[in-house]
Amino acid sequence: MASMTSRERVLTTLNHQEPDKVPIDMGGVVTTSISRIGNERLKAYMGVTASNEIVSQPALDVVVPCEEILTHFEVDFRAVRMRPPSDTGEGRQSWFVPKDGKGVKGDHFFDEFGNRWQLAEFDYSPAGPALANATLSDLDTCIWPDPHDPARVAGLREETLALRASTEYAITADIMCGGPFEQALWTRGYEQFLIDLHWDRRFADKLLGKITDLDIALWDAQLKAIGDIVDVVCQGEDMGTQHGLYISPELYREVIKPHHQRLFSFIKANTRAKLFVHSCGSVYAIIPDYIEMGVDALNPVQTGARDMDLVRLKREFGRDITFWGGAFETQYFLPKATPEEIREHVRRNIEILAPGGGFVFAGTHNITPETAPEKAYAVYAAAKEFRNYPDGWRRSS
Amino acid sequence: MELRQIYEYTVSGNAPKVKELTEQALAEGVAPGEIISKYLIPAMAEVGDRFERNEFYVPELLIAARAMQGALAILKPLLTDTDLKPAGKVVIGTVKGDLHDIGKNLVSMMLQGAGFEIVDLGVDVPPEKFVDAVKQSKADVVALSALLTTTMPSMKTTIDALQAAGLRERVKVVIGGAPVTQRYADEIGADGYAPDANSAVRRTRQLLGLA
Repeated sequence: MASMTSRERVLTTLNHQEPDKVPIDMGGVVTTSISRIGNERLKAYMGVTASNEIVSQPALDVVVPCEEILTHFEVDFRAVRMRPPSDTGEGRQSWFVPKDGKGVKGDHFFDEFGNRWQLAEFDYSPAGPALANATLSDLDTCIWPDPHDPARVAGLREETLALRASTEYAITADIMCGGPFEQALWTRGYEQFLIDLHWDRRFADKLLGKITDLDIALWDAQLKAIGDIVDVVCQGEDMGTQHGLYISPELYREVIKPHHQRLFSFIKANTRAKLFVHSCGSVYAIIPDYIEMGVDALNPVQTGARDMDLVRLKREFGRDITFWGGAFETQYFLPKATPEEIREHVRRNIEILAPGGGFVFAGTHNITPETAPEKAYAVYAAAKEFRNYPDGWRRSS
Repeated sequence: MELRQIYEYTVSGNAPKVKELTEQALAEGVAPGEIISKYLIPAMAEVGDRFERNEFYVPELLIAARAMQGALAILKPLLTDTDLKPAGKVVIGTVKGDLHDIGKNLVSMMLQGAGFEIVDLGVDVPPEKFVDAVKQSKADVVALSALLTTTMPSMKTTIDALQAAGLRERVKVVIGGAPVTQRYADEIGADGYAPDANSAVRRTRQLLGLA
């Protein structure tokens, strides 16, 4: 097969056809990369001297690796991200990219909603929801991020055009704001919001609606600036836990899905770029809903969660949605595996996911800080080794 | 009144109804211990079973637990020592370095719903705090939670600290959380592992010889 550019390769697989090679992602999205500490160790291992990589999401303490690493691993994506507003107000940290691009200093920060994030061992956890005690009418008066601040998209078109002119990478874009459900959990508090869904449906629905309005306004600004020159647009929205959805599929369809429908429809109507949606955990039960709403790609395909077996997912949904992840398991497997086990794990997962296209090589989440650098290296070395269509992943002996 | 409604409204998470019926039952002379053991505890067991079968999800578990807690708040001050003995005492917390609490809270609620007395130390709990709590409360069980692969080693540190303080033989240690496995429990010398809130109750009861 004639070789393709990265963009052709990505769009081919997203259209459920087989490209020349499986596209490789590392850092195209804030959940397909490597932790800041993991990246430092990987650089030392590879003898790479670059420094000052941008922390793409401070709460996850995740970076976009340097060009030398991305080129070495033949990564097919480069990302453009919505910028911080000119003024986040009242000691709040922009959501999520800090102004200096270097992560957060200190043991906590407040996001644009006023939620407190507290440093755990390596990354930050939500530990002080801004609307914990809010009432229905408080939702009309609370301080909310301003989606119309022109600083959010300043220079974004120029950056994207320059990237398009000088490279053939597929370009991903995101708004750096959570989806309605996960943002509601962070802003109201996990337990309280899940209780609200039953005991105070009006409040829950109004909060979801407000966040959806904000997401749409952010996408409006983003897509007006670059909607015609990016290839994939990425929305985060965690719906899953290790054991299943946070909420029942019925409750999802009744309360959450209408907001998803509105958000995804807006995005689809305002760009030709493919729609990528991230949800950790076990989301098997709502993949058909995502397909119905026009979601093109699902990330990160957390294979360690219940009902997330790759063979079954590929068989049942592989023709209708692209799996952007699942190629290596970062939670249980990777930290403990040997490089040779990693090579076979990656080969096997490519063998399951690659046929027919609809697959982007990425893990089940970012590579964690404690994962030894030779393991991170082994993952992408195996990706390069086994990525060739029509069957470069076939066991050789 | 039909006392069984306390059970039904607890399962369906109707807190105002559970509170109202509990007060009514007390007024009619029903013993507080009987309300707990015959209606609240079985209701929470049913909720746990439905959760395990994916018929209930986290929200339903939370509202049932809140309904139960509303009744317990009324009933507990009325209990006498002979009335109802707790199934056991559990010191629970998320280990040092880890700030995630929803899993730990669910386990805590379910244990409470099974009649255990809970000493909840919260999140980011250093080993010495577990040690102190076990000493003070004379707990039967220590339940450790971790959501991060990077904080799992704190479980071992905590078990080691219990050992060093001479308390290890006095308590059972049960562990859980997203990245935790039975193999890991065996590796670090925990007595039990539970993958979710309901099996945490089952495992704890087994360890104490109650099941």
